[in-house]
Amino acid sequence: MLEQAESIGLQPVAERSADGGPLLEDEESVLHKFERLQLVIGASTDQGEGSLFITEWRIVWLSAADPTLGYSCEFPAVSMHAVATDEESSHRPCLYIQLDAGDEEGGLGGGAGGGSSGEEEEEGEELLPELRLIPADASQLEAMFQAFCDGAERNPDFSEEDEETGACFYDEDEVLAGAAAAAIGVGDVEELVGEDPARFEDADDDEEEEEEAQQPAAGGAAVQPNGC
Amino acid sequence: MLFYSYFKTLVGKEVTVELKNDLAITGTLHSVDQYLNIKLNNIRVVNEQKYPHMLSVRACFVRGSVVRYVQLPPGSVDVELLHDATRREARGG
Repeated sequence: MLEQAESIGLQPVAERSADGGPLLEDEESVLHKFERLQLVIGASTDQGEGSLFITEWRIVWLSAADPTLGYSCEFPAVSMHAVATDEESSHRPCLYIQLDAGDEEGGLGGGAGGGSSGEEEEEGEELLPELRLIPADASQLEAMFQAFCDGAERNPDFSEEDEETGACFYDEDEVLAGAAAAAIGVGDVEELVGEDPARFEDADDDEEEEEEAQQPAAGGAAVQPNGC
Repeated sequence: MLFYSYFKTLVGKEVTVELKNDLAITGTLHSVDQYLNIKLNNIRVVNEQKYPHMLSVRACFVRGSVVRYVQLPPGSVDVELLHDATRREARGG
């Protein structure tokens, strides 16, 4: 189980502090504590009841029954979370959490230690990176949801792709078409027209207007289409 | 900031958020923050079979960094506005 947990981004926590809480790093503190939460990993791997500790940058769940059983996860690894209040089935209301194992898209996940996640399918089924925290007291759910929201906001990603460099996905054809249009001045007609609104009028049979239209465009730089 | 401002104009509209793990969720945009973390209400999962436990989820919070696409309702997209805004932003204005 521990290897599987690691494969989805959960770090096993075998030790805890004397007061029963998690061992904290320097400058880390417990911001919220929720007790009597049943943890289910994946589809149905029930870890029993325990307590959830929310710190500045991670969550730690410690089993109530087994002092060596616990898991932690950093907030950047939490892809999404939601309150699941199932009216239809017999599932109890819970906080549903999906983790980003960080395999496919270049490692956002919280240090997935199990490198062989996809290959060792001993039990024949893939462990989906989902957790459910089922509180004995369902009224805690809103506070739990909000604590996860706050944790996500407190822990944004600092990736190399900054806002300025703007890693965008775009349709190349569309962009090239736009660039070509811009190059012949379609986009900034007002600048090119300048003070002469008649500049781009159709040529008339009238001689005077023809002469005017044939004069080279003064201000507009790349007005002439290619090849003319 | 551009997309933060833009998404704020879509609050209350229905969008589909596709995550990098291929999960796609349709819902009403409740809120967005500067990191493009997204909260959705009245959600339904597009690919239910893979994530059966999500059937009972009604509201969710999606971390901005795991979003691959946000599909927008066509009627809510003012392309001119976006063109102008992106052009201004590209010029540093």
